[in-house]
Amino acid sequence: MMKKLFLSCVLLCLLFYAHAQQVIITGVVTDPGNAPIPNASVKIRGTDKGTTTNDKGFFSIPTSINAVLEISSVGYAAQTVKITSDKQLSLKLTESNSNLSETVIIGYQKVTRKKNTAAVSSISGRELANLPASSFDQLLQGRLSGVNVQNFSGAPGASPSVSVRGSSLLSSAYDENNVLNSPLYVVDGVPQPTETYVGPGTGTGLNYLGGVNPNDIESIDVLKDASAAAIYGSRAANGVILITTKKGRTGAPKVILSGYAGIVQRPKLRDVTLGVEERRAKLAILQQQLDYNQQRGLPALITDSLNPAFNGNTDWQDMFYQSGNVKNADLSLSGASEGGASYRFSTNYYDEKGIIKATGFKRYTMRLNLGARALGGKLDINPIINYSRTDKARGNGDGNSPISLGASNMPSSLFNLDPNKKAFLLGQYDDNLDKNISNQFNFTLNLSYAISNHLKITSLTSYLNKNSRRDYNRTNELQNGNGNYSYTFSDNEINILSSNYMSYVNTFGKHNLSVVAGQEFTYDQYQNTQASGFGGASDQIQVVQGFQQLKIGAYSDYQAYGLLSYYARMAYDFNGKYLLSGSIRTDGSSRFGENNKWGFFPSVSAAWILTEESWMKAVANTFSMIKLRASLGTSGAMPTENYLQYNLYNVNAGGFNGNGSAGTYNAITAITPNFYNGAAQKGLSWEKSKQWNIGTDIEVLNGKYSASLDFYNKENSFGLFSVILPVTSGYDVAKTNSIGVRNAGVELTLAANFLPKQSQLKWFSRLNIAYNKNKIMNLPNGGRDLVLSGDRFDKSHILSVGSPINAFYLYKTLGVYSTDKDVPINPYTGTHLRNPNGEYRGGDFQFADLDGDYLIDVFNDGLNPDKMPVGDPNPKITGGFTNNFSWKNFSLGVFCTFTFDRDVLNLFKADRFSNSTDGDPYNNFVRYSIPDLNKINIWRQSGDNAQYAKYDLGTYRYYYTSAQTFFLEKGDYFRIKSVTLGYELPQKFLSRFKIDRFKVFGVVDNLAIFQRSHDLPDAEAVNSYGEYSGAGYPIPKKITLGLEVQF
Amino acid sequence: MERKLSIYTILLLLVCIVTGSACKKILEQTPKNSTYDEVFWKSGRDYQSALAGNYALLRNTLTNKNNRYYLYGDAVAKNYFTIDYNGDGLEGIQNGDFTFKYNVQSLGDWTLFFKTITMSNLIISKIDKATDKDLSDIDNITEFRKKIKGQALFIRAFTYFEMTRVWGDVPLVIEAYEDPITAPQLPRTSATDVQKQIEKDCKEAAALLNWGYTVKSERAVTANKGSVYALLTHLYLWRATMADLNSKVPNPADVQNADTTLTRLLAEGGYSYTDTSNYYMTFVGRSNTATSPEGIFQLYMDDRTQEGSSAHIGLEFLRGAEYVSYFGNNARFWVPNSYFNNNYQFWYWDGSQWTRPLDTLDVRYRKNFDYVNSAKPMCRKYSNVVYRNPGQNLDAYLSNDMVIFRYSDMKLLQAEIALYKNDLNTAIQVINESRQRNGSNPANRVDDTYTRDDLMNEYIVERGKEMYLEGHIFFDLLRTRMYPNFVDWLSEGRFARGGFYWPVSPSLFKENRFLVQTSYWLGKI
Repeated sequence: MMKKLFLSCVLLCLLFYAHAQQVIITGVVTDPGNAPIPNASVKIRGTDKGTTTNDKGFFSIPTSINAVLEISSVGYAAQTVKITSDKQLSLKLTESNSNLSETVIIGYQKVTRKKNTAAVSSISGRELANLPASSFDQLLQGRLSGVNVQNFSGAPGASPSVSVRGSSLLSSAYDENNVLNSPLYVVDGVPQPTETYVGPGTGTGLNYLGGVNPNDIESIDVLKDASAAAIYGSRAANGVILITTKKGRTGAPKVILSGYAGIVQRPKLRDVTLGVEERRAKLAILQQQLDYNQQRGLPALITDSLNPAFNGNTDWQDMFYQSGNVKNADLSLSGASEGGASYRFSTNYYDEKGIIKATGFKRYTMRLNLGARALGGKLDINPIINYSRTDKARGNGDGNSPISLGASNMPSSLFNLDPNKKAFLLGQYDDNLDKNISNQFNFTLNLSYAISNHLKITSLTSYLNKNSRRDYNRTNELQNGNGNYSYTFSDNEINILSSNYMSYVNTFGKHNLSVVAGQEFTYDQYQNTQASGFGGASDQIQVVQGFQQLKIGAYSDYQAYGLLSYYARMAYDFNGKYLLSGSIRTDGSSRFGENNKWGFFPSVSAAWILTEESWMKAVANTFSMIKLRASLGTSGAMPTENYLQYNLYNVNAGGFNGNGSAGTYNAITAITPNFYNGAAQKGLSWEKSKQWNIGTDIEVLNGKYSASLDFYNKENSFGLFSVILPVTSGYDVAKTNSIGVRNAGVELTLAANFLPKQSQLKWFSRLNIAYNKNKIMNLPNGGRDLVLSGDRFDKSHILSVGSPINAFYLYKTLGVYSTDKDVPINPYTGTHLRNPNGEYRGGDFQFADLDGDYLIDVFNDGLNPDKMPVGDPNPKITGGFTNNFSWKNFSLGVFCTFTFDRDVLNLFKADRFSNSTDGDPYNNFVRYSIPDLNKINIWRQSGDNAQYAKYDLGTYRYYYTSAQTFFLEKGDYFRIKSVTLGYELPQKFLSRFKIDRFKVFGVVDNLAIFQRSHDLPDAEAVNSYGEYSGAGYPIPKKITLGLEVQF
Repeated sequence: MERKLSIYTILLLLVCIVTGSACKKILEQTPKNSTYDEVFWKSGRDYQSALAGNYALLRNTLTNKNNRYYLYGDAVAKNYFTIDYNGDGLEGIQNGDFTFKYNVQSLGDWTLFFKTITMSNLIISKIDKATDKDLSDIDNITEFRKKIKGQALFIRAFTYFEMTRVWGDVPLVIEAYEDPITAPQLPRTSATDVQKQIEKDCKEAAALLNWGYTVKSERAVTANKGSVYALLTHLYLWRATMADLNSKVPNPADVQNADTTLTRLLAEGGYSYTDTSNYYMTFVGRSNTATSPEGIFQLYMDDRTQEGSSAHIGLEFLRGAEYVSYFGNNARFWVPNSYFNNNYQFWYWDGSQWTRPLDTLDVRYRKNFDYVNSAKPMCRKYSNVVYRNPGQNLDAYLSNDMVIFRYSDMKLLQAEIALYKNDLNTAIQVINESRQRNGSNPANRVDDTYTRDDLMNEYIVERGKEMYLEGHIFFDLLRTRMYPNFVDWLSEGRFARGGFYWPVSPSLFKENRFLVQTSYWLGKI
């Protein structure tokens, strides 16, 4: 069926093939001061054909008499010329701040910003260049409206969380590595495989986007609404981020050398009490809460202040930090020959040494982009070759914490470290091997053949090969004397994509039509192998050798999927005034069963440019453009598992309590169905996201001011979710299309060039702000609330219809009981309000007794009648504020980002007071570091009107549970993210040395943060569940100096 | 020019179409990292592995949550061993309170039992459909089919038997669902019907299986006709006594059934006692050369094939470096003195007065316990420790099978049956024979001066010695109605209301509106 459609489409297009008189038109494009404008775009209206000017402003293009040329260049107003003869043209462009003639990429096609009917945000690669970040996704923060980026970890090479117009991912189990669904990244037309088959603890934990050099990026376009994204169909439900890399430019060969280097500073450490102060504070608490006998049993650590082993003043946090540095070097060569062959080669080296010992990140990249023409200019050949290698050192190797001591169990400062102990704690950083290397090779070939001026066939083939490798080794000492441990991991992924489409562009009088139709297939295969050995005999062995057979583990895996797609888009406009666009895509996936393989994703959008109307001419001088647009469409998402349609079995399923790894019964391999989630899910279908968007784009005074406003509503339905199966079926859970999530919001971008055109000083300012609210609309099993499993002991998140995703699930803290008498009394029994382990007393936190039974239920496995869904861990307002100034040869950029209206649960704070469950609370209290109690209003004796409850020493009343509103904080922050100062040496001076450009610049990254919470060290360093546990990597400040030279 | 153009066009189109149709194939990706239903069940080997999987699931079920088999069968009987407090609340069950959330959510949850049953159902349905071609790697296909199906039936029957002893009424599934996703929610089926199904399965299994074992390594750790008869005997006795909780008179028909089944088992099973000089052999299961001749059915947990357990019930008791090199002097489980007083003390006329010494001569006293004079005596019945790190004596596993049915168990049941039939002489004979065999103090014997009730008490004392920590005692006490002397929390009133059954975990009610709570626990959870 699809094939026939495709064929008839082709035939139809061929019919339009027409003839006209061919001429070669040449011309020169200059600015008002007669200086040539290089790289200006020259296009024949109504066709797909065009060229660009060389560095002398010269162009040449074959066309026909009566054709209309459109000439445009960024920073200038576009011009059109009608060809009447074949004489050379001389075109002068006037300067303009308007960006309407800029093109945006919307998938398989480019359109001008003016004619765009969808919600797309774009930035130019210039904004990202030379900023000290290990991957470009970190730099997107605050630059694109509707794209929420949180750089919650400052670890070199870390992946930030990125979501476009909110997340719709719901999962019944807590998984810190999989909280938000990330958008689809498309690099030069190639959708990147995003599947992660292993967690960061198993694999290398490297950011797969880390291999893209930010300085190679020409532009980034984000397709936010369904009308734009639907062309990527099944994977577009969470937005699409299109990255276009730089190409060779016409003109003489150009060499750009740039580099920067700088320091990475650690942020302020958390407050701790040290030495004498700590001893006094602890003794005060102990003497108050313990009787004489208990006090006699206290450990010497606290009582024996004269013992040289215990009179320390050790700041443990301090030991793990160092000052880091960052270095970066870029080289690029580009140029083009007269014949149309162009090239660009670039290479990059980035090296960051982290602020925590043994952490760091190195990146090496190489990219070659070639362009050539054949068959009389009808065939465009554009191969792109890209190679990158990243190397990440990750400290202790835990996916979420770079250091070996948990933040909440830092030892007491009183311990004096003997050198061995210190070596044990820190020694791992010297002897511990943890090498994480990832290589990525990518070859893309773009072929496009112009059948006529209107019809073009494009074929894109891409081959991507990724492999990564981890080598990990821990010494005997670090393994508690049980012998050394070695681990090795290696994986390989290939991704083959072929996309073939034809595009047709034509003009019929005032009717402009453009059509794209094509077909695409993707095949992805992933394999990994890992091996480990424990209890080894020699620390010198750092590979898996020399271990007893029993102590060796090995594992390998194979995963593959295929995707077959057909797509078409039609864009029509009448006189550039009424715009209409529609697209369809249908995807077949190997991940679904026979009857549900195919998904269908249509979209439609329309726009009306009011300023093109004759009755608007009166205001046209002020409002250069007012556009209203609306769109509606559907896009999809797939499950991440490849084989859900099969009834999967577990081999070596002999495990039992006491021997989880048993694989046999009576030495015969045990095989059972995967009774957890292995039932064949043949009925599973695509997740669908239906989205409408209405928006407006306004440009005032030819781009002096511009604004863009969007309202949207995105309903994700048929979301995949694990539902519980009947126990008697033998299976636990199966995925079904059963959840619904709504994300709705507003996005506003305002830009201004405040100062007049003539002014020497230029000031460009752009503010973007987005509000997104997410809400769970449907849950399986009749909408029953679901407490996330696998969370920490306190289980502080819930999925509840009407609440945002992963809302907190907390006790409501009312205050601190001043005295025992303040505890409410149950009128039926005469006992005080209690929990199952005892009655509350003065000094305890008062929790709201929501079900009124005078018992605060402490159980966490499921719904708790005394806890309630509260707060929203998802940031609601995000955005950025850009200000760029330039004066003569100086430039200054100040970039700020912000997040408002987010709740954060401060687990770290809770943990520092909670000692309620330890078997030996006094000892535990004495041995670990405590916060500075003098700085807080903590309950000390009966009658105190305190803010903090008394220190919990093994009461089992859990009043310092982290699951209470007392620890809920405001996560709002405003960060001055980067300040860039640049100076370009004068051209006159440089020309003597044959240098085109010489720029020096300095960057301060992460200059300052203003936040509402006083207790969070950094309101951005919070995981995607809105939790601060103290374990993450602090976000450092970077100061760099650099230069850029162009020959 | 014109022709050239169209040639290129057609060529390009052809390329598109060819690739288009070729890549239809990429939509069919089959797993290589797992076997799956569509390709499994194609050889005899597959069936053997599936059956091993079924046994493994049963083993997983019974060891789950601190070895729940012993918690249901021994721990709640209270006076046999003591569980110390450690914060998880498990010890609460020893006082008859099954409501503590962590306990009811684990021990009240029958999910794992149903995984075992689902596996049996699957094997039964698949083996019936298997063609001879599928089983072509097997020599004697007819015999193989019988063996596979018989064992799957046995596992299903045994699993239901354990469930019905714990919960009474339980949902009954005997079909393999084609599509588990559309499987219905089920109510509880009455214990009577469940027991009928068990009886039916046992009879069918007995017809399919043989006495004895042709393969030595399968002895006792896989089910044969003897295992089925042992189960059937237990089922009949349970049904005879527990069908009517208000009656102390067992159902004579089922007593008779038990009698004939047991008689045939003892006559034809080929089982015998292990020599008491080789006492631990019974609980190890298998040595290098021989398998314990007592074993009728036991779950394989031998660490010589890495199937030992680091959380074996035995390890809960063991302490001291002489048992496990790196264990301290504390163990969570220990044997209270009341156990010895109840089971090993006997009245004895020493010539001048009545005394009540301990029968320390009994092999079981000597072999099963250590530190008997301390405040917390230790059970060492299961103490076959194997170090997986033998160099440093670390990583201890117990290599002791989980004994479910054995010859001594069956021999003692003869006494119970006899007592139900008022055949006191047989009972006396069985009890004395057991004492004799275990080297008990010759003064510690029963005779015809004992009433039926006295004998029942002596029988339960004998079970307490012989079947200590084998998952039977509590059920013995219920059947024989001897619980009032041993289990203080179980009053006759509570017994009559089924208060010894376990409540069902509240989590199972979540999706199932047909499910009702065990009647005694209604309103208590």
